[in-house]
Amino acid sequence: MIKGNNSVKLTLPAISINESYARVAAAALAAQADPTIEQIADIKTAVSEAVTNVIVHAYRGMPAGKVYITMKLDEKGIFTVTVRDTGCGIEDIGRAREPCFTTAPAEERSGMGFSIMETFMDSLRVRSRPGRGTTVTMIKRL
Amino acid sequence: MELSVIPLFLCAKADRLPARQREHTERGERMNLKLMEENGVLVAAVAGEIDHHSAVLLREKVDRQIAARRPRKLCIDLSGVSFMDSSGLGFIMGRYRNMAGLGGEVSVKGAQGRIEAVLQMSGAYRYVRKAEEENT
Repeated sequence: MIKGNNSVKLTLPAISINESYARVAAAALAAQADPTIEQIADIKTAVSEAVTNVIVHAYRGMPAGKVYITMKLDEKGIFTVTVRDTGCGIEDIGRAREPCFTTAPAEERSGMGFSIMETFMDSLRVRSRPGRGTTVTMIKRL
Repeated sequence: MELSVIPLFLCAKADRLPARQREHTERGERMNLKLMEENGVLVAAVAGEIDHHSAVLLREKVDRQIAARRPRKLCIDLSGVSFMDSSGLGFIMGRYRNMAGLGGEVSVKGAQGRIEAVLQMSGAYRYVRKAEEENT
């Protein structure tokens, strides 16, 4: 299969029913590079984690905002996904990325979101400004 | 004894449907839960996708049965689950805490592929037992 340049931009309300929409959209774009079933599962899981983080944490204490998703697949089969919000931001990114760290234990959050993104994707970058929002960028070579 | 087959969507509306129709109605939700109890073991067989959205309803349904039946053991059967992220881990560990508080225990069975990878990497098996397919 020829791996072509393709890209998708999605803006979704940050509500939980859109978690499945986001990961299915990511899988549909990645599928154009003829990936393995495991690679598709990795992308779906990582995107679900990133979008869930926005829904659970980013707009806490304020009206639910939007989640902005940009996905790109290049001719070499490199899949890049960016998940951005304009919410509260993360005070301490290092701590947030630690396994089992969560600010929402009462909601049964496991604190494994960033660890899963890191393990299942080839790279993970997190940029955040408190009060301004967070951008998570992940890359997977297909 | 089968307690219920609960499609996790608009439950009030689902209750008005015949059982057969209820079992197969999806309406945008991607998960079903089947609860059975035998000899003090409550088996929660989940099918479909477990994410943050579906885990909220899943938690409510399972906790209601735990509170009503006080089982010795809860077995979470994931063999019908096609997708699970860390929200599923939260669900499993939350039930572990509930059951431990009642002096009971939790086992998990049927996890495949990335679902098993998520369970392994999280260390969940330090708390919940991994049951063989034929057991609970």
